Amino acid sequence: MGSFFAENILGFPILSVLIFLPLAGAGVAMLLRGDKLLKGWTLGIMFVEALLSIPLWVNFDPNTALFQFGENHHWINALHINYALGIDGISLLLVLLTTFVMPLCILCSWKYIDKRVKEFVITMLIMETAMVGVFMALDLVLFYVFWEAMLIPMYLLIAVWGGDNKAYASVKFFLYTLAGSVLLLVAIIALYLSQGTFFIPELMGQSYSFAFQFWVFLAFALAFAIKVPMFPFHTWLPAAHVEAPTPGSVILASVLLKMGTYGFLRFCLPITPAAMFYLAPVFLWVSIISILYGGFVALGQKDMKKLIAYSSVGHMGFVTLGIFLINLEGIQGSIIQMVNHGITTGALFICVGILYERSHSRMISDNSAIGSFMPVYVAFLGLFSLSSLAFPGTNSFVGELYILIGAFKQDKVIAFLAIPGALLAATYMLRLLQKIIWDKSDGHAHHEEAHADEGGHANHFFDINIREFATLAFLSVFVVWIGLMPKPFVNKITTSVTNVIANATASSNAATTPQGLDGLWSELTGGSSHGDGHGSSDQPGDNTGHDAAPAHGNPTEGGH
Amino acid sequence: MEFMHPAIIMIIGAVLAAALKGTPRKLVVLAAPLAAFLVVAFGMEPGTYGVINYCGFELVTAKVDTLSLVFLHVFTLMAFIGAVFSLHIEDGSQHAAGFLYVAGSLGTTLAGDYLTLFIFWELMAFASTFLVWARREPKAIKAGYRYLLMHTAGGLVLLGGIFLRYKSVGHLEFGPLNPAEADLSIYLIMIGFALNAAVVPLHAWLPDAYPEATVTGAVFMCAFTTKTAIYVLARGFAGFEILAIMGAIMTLYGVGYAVIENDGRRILAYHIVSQVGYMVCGIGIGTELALNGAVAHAYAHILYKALLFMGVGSVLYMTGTAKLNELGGLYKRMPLTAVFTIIGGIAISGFPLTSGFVSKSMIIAGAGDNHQLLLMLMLILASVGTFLSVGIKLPYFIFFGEDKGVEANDPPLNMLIGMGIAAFFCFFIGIYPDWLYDKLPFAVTYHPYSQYHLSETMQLLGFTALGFYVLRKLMQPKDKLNLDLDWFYRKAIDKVMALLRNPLEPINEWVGDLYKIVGYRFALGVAATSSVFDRVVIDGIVDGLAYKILGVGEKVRHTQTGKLQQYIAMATAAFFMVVALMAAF
Amino acid sequence: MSRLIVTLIDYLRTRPMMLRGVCITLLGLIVLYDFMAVRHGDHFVGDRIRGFWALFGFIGCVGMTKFMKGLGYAFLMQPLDFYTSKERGED
Repeated sequence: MGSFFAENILGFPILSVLIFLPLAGAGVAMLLRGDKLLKGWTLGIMFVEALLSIPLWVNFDPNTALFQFGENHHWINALHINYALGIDGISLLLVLLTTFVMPLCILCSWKYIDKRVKEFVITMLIMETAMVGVFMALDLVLFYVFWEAMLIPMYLLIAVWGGDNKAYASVKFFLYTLAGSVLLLVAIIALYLSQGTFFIPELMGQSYSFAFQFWVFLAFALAFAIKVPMFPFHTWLPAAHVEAPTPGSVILASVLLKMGTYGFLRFCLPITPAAMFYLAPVFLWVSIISILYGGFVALGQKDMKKLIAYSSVGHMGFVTLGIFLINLEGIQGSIIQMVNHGITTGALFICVGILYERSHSRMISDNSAIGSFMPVYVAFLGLFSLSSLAFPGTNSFVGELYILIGAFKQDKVIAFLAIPGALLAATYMLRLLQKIIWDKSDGHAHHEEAHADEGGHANHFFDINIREFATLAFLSVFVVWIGLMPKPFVNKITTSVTNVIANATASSNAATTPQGLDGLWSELTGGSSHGDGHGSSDQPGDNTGHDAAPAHGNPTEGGH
Repeated sequence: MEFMHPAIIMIIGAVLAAALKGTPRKLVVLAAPLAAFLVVAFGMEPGTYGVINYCGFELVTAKVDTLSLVFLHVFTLMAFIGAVFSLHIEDGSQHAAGFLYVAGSLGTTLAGDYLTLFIFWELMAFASTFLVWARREPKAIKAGYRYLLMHTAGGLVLLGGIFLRYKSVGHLEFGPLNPAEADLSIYLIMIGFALNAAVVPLHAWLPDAYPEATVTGAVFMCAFTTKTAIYVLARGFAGFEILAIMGAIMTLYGVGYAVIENDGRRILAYHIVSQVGYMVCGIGIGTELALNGAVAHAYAHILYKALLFMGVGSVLYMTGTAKLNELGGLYKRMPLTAVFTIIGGIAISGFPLTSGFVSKSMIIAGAGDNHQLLLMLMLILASVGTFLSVGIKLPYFIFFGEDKGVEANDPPLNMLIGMGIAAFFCFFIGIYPDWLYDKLPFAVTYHPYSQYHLSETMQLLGFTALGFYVLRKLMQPKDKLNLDLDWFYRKAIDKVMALLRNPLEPINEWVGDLYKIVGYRFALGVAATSSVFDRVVIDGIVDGLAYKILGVGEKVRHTQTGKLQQYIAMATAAFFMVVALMAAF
Repeated sequence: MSRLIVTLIDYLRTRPMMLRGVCITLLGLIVLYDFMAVRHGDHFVGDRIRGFWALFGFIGCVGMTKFMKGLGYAFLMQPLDFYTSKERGED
């Protein structure tokens, strides 16, 4: 089993440390008292966590596709469940995104969360453990445990510290995600029964029958599609975002949504490539619909958080578009864009939170015309808005560039349809910006009275303080850095992505073709012809047996 | 000698201008464009510089040759004049926006590849929008928004064309294109460029936004967006016949509206469409004479159009209105402004001894030499309209005519100096055309001061004036809104917004609530009936797991708001269990 | 300087007859000049006819004005709030 891993240069189990450090911090937090102390302690733990993740970046070998910093121990031997961790180019950036965004969440919630602070920090720390674990797990059960473990804290975040409609939103979130989780479990079980192991690298590149791949892929894909969220499973997102407190929204947008797209790349592509190629056109179209739909609905929004929530649907549409192009630029672009979206949308939610703390309203009309007395804030908001609409020079431009290049290589029609999505993004972001910064003319009589009576509801907002400034400044550094010098980031992911695509292409070419839909149905109901591989092969991408008719689906372009 | 990209100078200037106040800022505002001008005028040798690798593309950020040099020359000169004119503005962000706008223009002019071009193109669009928004009036805000939308849409069409081109030829070099090989990618790029050049029917943003911009902002805007587009068209699309035709149509279209418009700046804005039409037509004709003419005209036009915008802008600044029906008789109170505006007017009309006489006619001669007689006549007719609307009507109803008694004075000194510099160049080029001709991309064999040309021009001008005199009552401007092609997208936007608010939102909500139906049935149904998932899930363990998970779902659904401690305890307990298990094994 | 300009213009405005006379004389001289001007390589028929451009200028001006004003009164001219009165908070 060691042949999947590169040697751990650091010599100590850094991944485990990164996973359990926040948990340990939570344990300690249970014993502490005093809100300030709790928040400070949590901030400290997360800060240390972020620092500890830097060696991952520094020591990452960009030239190998093997999993790095790996750990592999037996856990529940009877069921062949291992405690296996490892990261590669695909997960490295996501882990770093998580560890760096979490402390910012605590920072932005410093004043915002004032009741049940202890429960809050514990929830956040447990979430961090779960999220980091999701990206690092190389065993399906371990992955599933972490995946599920993230559900409850997120639910609590909305249900306890959320807005007026929190009950509705939190339950909606929970039920949607739960449905997806069930499907996930089904897929996991099916794979176990086929191969007798939960170890992910061994499950990759096996020559499963096409029909088997089809159903497993569908189960995975639906689960992840709910998470991303892809149209039409997206409706939990606006509700959740609107009702969640600012730190909840930030972490939801920055990290949680990425779990879905990560799942596509980590599971669907390597394990069920034939099905993925076959169904890619469907998902490409769904992505386009997500982009355009998200954009259009965002355009009509009066609530700032809802607007950004729908913009997330649109942005994640671009990410899934990149993934299902299954070429180098497309997937590179989607990974970069995952990181970018995390940075930019997280920052936008922090910005909205800053306004909310002052005006106690999420409505655009109650937060308009602040440009004259909050110039620094406006500068930041402007920068992140530009990033959100992929203005050249910002991080999102790089991601979109790659994705569009990948799209144009594959299918002109899809590519052309994606472009109006960019235009829509410009439209709604600029509308938001224009109204917030300048627009006094909103015809809200009630608003005018507020101005007159209280000496200005919106009139005497204070510009941002040091804490808020630090949070936003940190994020803006990355907006500009990735935007102008994306090479260091792209370099880390290229090898892994190339490898994944090559393996997927090779093994999907070797899979058997479906004998019409009958084959699919019998696969589902028969129950005795799951998979063909017996035992495990040594290397991912090793295709034993099965002379093949070429698989249906997208003409593939292997690597680049 | 090391190469200094003038756009960088302007960007640094923008940042400093936004950050500083008072006198230091004024110094920066003057110094930045002056420095850029000096770099261009004295420091640039033809060649390729600044090649950068970005995202796997090779970007050529500075390709210098005669064509780009002449445009850079006038752009930086104009930036300086604009800076002088706007020196009195206290708002640092306006200066910054203007300078970033200029930087965008300079960067586009120097771009040697499409990606660099696109990046600076977008910079121009965004920066100039701020010049419109800076006026802070509701009309201006809305107009700026429409302006930005149009430009972003155009930019995306351009981007689409660039991608397609990359796919078909494999590189992004920006150079002359062959009309015979024109495919979708080339047409898309052309449309993207054409929008910025205000080619009809993509022109409506210009008369919509320019009159709403700030006084000083409009002076900047009139010079750069359209002329940068002319530059890229000149480099890439010389000889595309469709441009010749569209250009000629533009000249008449713009001038026609200028004749009936009432707002002084809107007259000038429509007139930009007309004058740019000359340039587009010259590019379309494609001969050396016509191209020289287009470039020369661009150069001269920037200066006298800016002069006109400065003149009318000064009137707006001092009186509060630019509407012709509200003004009149201002020569008594704003004599210097009147003189400068008239100079601009005669320059644009092509009076002998002005820059217009030696530049516009090159294009007309080019059309004639190329035996495109209909085009030539259209262009000459447009000249008639030009003199009529901008040379006579505009100054007449503002400065002469019936005195409406509007309070006014000549504007502050910096504005007068700005106008003075521009006026100087209008005459300088007219009297000494070789100064400009030496800069043109091709060798010049044209002699503007021929007897025939003088005669033709004087006849046209003189008798147009006669026509005006005869019809001066009819020419009275009415304060009305003239419908133009923007009707389509303004109405269309309305309808789209209505569509969004009405059916789409409720449908979205309905779809979203489907989960409830599904969720209930899911939770209840799985337990009761056998389903697809029941089939797949064979093993007993798995069955139990599935039920347990659903069971939790049910519980959660019922106990939405309470028992917080229970859940926290559960979660923590679960994790301690995991830890314990791991420790045990 | 401004005083000078104002004085000059006032002088001209108070003598409309003189102004008119000067202008008409100028127009006559211009047409006359056309008979003397040397022509190189005429492009079309109008180049050879003396005084063609004078006619072109006058008729062009009058024609254009009448045409555009006609169009204006026909359907182009609308009240100033044509778009805004129908927009309910257009974005």
